Amino acid sequence: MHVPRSLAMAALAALAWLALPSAAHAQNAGRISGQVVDSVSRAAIPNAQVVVVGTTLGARTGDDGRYIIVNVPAGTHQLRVMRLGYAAATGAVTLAAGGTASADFAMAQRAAILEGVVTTATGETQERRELGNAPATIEVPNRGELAAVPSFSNLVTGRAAGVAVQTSGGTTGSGSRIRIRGSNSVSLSNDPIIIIDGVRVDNATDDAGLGATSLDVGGQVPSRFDDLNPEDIESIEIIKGPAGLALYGTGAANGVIQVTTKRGRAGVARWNTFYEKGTVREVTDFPNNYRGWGTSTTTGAARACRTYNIAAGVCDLDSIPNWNPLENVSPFVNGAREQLGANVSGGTAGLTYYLAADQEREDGVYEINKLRRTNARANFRAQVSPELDVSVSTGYLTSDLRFPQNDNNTFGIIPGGVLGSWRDDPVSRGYYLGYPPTELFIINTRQQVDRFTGSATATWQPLGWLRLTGVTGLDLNNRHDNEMAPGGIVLAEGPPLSYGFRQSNRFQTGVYTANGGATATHQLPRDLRSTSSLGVQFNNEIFRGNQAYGEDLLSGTGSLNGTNRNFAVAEVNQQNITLGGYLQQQIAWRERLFVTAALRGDDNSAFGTDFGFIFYPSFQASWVVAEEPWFPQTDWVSSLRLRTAYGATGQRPGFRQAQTFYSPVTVQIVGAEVPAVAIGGSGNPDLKPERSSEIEAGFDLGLLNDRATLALTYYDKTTRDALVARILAPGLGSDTTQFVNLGEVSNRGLEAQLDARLLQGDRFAWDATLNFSVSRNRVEDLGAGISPIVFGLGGDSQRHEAGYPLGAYFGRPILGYADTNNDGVLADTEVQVGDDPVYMGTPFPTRQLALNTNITLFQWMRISALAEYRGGNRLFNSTEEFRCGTFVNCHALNDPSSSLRDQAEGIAALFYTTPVGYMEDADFVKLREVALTFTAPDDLARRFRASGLSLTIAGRNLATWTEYEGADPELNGGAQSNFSTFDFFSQPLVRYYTSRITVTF
Amino acid sequence: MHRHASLRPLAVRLLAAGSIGAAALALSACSIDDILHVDDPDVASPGSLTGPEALPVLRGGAFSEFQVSYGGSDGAFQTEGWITLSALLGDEFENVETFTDRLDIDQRAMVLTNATLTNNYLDLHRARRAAEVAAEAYAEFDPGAPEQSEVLSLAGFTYVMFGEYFCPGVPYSRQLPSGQSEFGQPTTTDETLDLAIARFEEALDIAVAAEADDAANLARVGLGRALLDKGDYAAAAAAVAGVPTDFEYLIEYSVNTPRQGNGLYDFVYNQQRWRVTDAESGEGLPYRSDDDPRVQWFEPDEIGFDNESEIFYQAKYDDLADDIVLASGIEARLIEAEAALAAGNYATAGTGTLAILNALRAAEGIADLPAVAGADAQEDQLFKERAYWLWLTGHRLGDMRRLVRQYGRDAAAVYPSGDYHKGGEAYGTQISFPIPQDEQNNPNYAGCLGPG
Repeated sequence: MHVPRSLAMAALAALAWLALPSAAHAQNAGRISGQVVDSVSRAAIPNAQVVVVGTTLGARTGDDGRYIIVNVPAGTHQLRVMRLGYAAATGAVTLAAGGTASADFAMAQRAAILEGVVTTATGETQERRELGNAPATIEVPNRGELAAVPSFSNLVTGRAAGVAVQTSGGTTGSGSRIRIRGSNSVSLSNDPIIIIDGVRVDNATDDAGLGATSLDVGGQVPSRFDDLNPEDIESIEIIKGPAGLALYGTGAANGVIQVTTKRGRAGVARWNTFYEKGTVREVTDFPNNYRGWGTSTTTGAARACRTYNIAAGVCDLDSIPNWNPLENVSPFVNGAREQLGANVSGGTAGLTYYLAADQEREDGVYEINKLRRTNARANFRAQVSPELDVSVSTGYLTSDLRFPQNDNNTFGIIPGGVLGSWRDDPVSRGYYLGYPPTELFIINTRQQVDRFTGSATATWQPLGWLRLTGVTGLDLNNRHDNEMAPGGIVLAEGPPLSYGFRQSNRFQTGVYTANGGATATHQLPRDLRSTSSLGVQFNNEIFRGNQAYGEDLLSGTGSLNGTNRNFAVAEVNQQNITLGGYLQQQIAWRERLFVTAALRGDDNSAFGTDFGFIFYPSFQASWVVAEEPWFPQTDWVSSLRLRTAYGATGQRPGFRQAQTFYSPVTVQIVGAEVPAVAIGGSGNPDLKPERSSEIEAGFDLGLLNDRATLALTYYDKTTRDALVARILAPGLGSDTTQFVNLGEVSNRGLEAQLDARLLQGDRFAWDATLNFSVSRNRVEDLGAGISPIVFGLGGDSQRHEAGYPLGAYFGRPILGYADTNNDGVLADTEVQVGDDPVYMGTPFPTRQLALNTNITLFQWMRISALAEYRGGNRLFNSTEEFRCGTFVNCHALNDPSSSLRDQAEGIAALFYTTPVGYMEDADFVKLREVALTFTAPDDLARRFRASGLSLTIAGRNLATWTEYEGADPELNGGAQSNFSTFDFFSQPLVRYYTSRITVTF
Repeated sequence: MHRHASLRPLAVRLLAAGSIGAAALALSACSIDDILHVDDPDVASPGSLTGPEALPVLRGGAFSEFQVSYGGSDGAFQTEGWITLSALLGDEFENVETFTDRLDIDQRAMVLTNATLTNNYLDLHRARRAAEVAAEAYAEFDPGAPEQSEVLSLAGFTYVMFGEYFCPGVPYSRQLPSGQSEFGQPTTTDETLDLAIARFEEALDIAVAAEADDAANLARVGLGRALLDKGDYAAAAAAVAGVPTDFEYLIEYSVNTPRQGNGLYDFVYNQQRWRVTDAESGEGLPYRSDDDPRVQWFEPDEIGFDNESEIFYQAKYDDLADDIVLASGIEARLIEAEAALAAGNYATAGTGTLAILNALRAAEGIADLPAVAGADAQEDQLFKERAYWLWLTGHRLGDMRRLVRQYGRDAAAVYPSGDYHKGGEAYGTQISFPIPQDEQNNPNYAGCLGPG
């Protein structure tokens, strides 16, 4: 549905405003204050949300558990207090006109996923019980346990059902691919939006057009979300599907990750400091390089003698020498990790602050793989007047990352080892192409980032029933991707390495956000409450950069100034603007039945010139059925909420995808360099956004007096008008593809989260959270006349084809093999391979199960652990496929003692060029994190003039159980590519052992 | 009293609604398009490439696309180019690397999804269309210019390469200014060559009228080559009769940008992907062991990209900026020599095949060829001379196909056959490039109409 954009915005705004309920008369305002404590320990509970039921009024508790709500109309009010991990507490309070009232609460710990608040697209917080969808809330580990969580992607891994974080390798600085409820788009990004304190931030990956790096080191690329500092995060909310995302508008189809950074609490200054030190270990057993040697049965001459040669009777095996460069001449070192940080928070009721800074140093398992990062954050909140609240959030990052060469890379270290020789050599030490790592380490590939993210949020409550919220902010990123190799040093036969070269690419990314909205609440007759919202949202993403390259680097120089030939320069200017408006109406009945309807409209600069405005509707219903009077009250079933939601949202086309254009080039004619144009893109003026719609339904069940809770959600999501890069007939002589809205993709799944406080006592407490999800992704349609889209490593190992998951592995199958003469070795003729490619599986996990548990002993020792299972997917072990099928230095084709299955897979790769034998089951169980925290007694802490003192010993990537035969079932040489997934000489995940001291003053 | 307490709520709402609605209407009516407008200075829109001032840029585009498609490119573009691919399928290069796509070409066993084939097939069509678009622009804004002749000849050479390299059945389509596609019909090899001949004849007429000698000679050699491919030997010889022997038309390469680098240099010197052959599989010509000055190569004592095979570098293009001869007076003489042979005029002094060949050799200080007897031997002698004179200029594959098509040779005796030099499966039976699968997006696609 789309209408001319000229009237859409006006209609949205005016209609929404007129839909607001009749306003109650403003009352003489008073204030309510009090304290929230733990019902057992009586300890203050910080960051609890206290709301005046039926109004937009509320406050959060400070570190001392105290809160103040101002501008409260006179009368009797219900207060509700919510905090993740506690059962909600309610109480009534009567406030005289202009007076004050006090209300204290004691909250009982519960595995209560029913309670809590989430931040919505309108910028308002909303009680979870009011939502028809099921956003995930990730509880950030305490500061000590963050020792086991060195990055943002580690923080999200395994902590939310339906959220898959696929780490691409163990290189320090490598990123991850995040998929929420599966992939929706054939051609556009499937990455979620990330919002920090209300503003969108840069989360571009390679396939998104903007990119996280412009330098190719073979595969690994950083993730921009890993610029986020886990130390500064207070909470993470993940809104998973269109059912809950309609108001986020175009661009939100892949889910939204909302990050709230830490806030100051009113009270005296409270200092937290920590120091972390650890080691990073390479723990992989790399395979040997083999070469069967024998004598020719016809000439008696020495010759290579592989298993299939033996089977063919052309040689007699003499020996199988082998060599393992990575093990015998190891390029690895024990890396190190160090982090030092401090923060202080405090303030008054009128002004609070949170100031933090930390410095991080990580050295990977190669001597050149280094990350240096400094973070600073300053967050303020000011109660400017009883009606006006202003928050300012600022974060700054500066980092310097140096990557090694690896993955699909001639100069890679892992490929150099496992593709290397079967024997030692005094110069190359058996490394491929004669490049020992010490020579390759001279290639200096770096990325320096200076990033500022800031936002300001103002909330003005001129009337008791009306709240206006404005959010504006920006995310600015200055990035310098640069690479240098000095000339004449590397053992390369030809340029550019033999000459030396310099690449220097400087980029500026700016993401600008401006949102404004209004929410009005009114109590209606018959126990009904109305909440109406409307707003406008503006988002502007700008990516600008210059790229420069030159060769023949003057010895002793390291910049472009020293280059002398083969220059290349380029400039990139990309921009994408979204302007949208929304309105939302919620009706609540007796605060236990909530029905919400909303509509969002968007226009975007990347839509085709012939396309106008697009609208996304949503509908949600939530029923806290256990609070109905007729519901049987038992300890067994202590709470129950039923919920359902429907919504639609979209994904905008990429920059320039709607445009037809020519690219400027240079050509030499009669000795003169002259300007020219090369054929660029074939645009589509009808291009419109992809539209994803979803229905989800589920329940939240509290058991055993809420000591255990179960949340179960089913979702069914369909993306229509999916952008398909239709392959153009090459005979047209134009571009390779043209984007058209043709496809349809579906995702269905079931998500469950079980929280249990298994034991709860003064001396021993044990809680556990189990996340579980199953999913099914399928291409329903690619569009009439569109043949399967074939891609992947090797050119055709993956494809998008109707009836199969996106990016599915395909290959010509091994139909059978038989050692017909029982000689123990297979000849090529003893392996049968099919003619046509068949489906081999999906590279994306379809089953996930994660167990996160915490055990507290004697209130001074706490053990936390995270274990994760993933399965249902395959991984293309192209490392071994390449060793067997191309370099023939694998065990399977050199040692007759190898299994017939291994030989058959190798022969299929070598003789029939089908890699299917290496598209392996990639199920695994991993022990991701273990942290052991000792908290010092108060008197010991006081000896150091501290109020708190703890020591944490942590480990990460501690164990893996898998049938996958490659180095690691999580590797991806395709890094954050939209779909390309393969294990191709990537650095396997490394193991961390860290310790951290935390001191609080 | 609260400052808003005296206002009536409904009035507040109506006032606010009116204000916001009016503001939003004003915003939406006058400036949403402005708000959403983004500049795109990095590329040129089709509308900016019209009029006579666009002619040099369009001409440059024609040369640039042809340069990439013909001799490949360097750097991130990493385009092999048709000289290399035809050398791999023929007998000039052997593959010493690991990429399946290009191994399959060397092994004469390509599948239709071969990505290298697909990319280079597209490049050749882009070169064709860029030349034709430029020619159309000249016809409209500066008809009769020598540059019009040149770009017409470039278009003609793309058809020659389609005719020489591909099986019959290639369709020639185009995208209209409206963005719609106009799909061509499959063409036979002769039909393709007729399209080339039409371009060359038009180019020749324009060049002669403009007294542009180089452009005219380029068109003459192209015309002769196309006619030779059709087996019209006498007409071919007549077409090239006026071309001086020292004429050369170069496609220029440069270190100015990576796109302009010579791919024949880059893929060998920088990447060690293929080597000069020596009687590949027994059927190929002995390029190395003949030690002929026209076939320049050396042994660097290195191994190829596959970390196993010995490599022999071509030395004809030993710099990234080395230009490549597209057409020459030597080729004109070779065409005349073949026409003489076809006319039964092998040994006639001065104008016979042997005399023409030896005159060329003498000019380079190469010893005379001996006279040989018998048609097969004379053909072998002629085609070997063509192979050496025109080595690594994209002629050899077309000659090998002509040996099969026009001279009745057995393909297995002309093309590398039998055991593949890198092991594994034996050489296949392809003698030309198939039409890639992506061309199936043309509704008229019919695949190969014959073996070539």
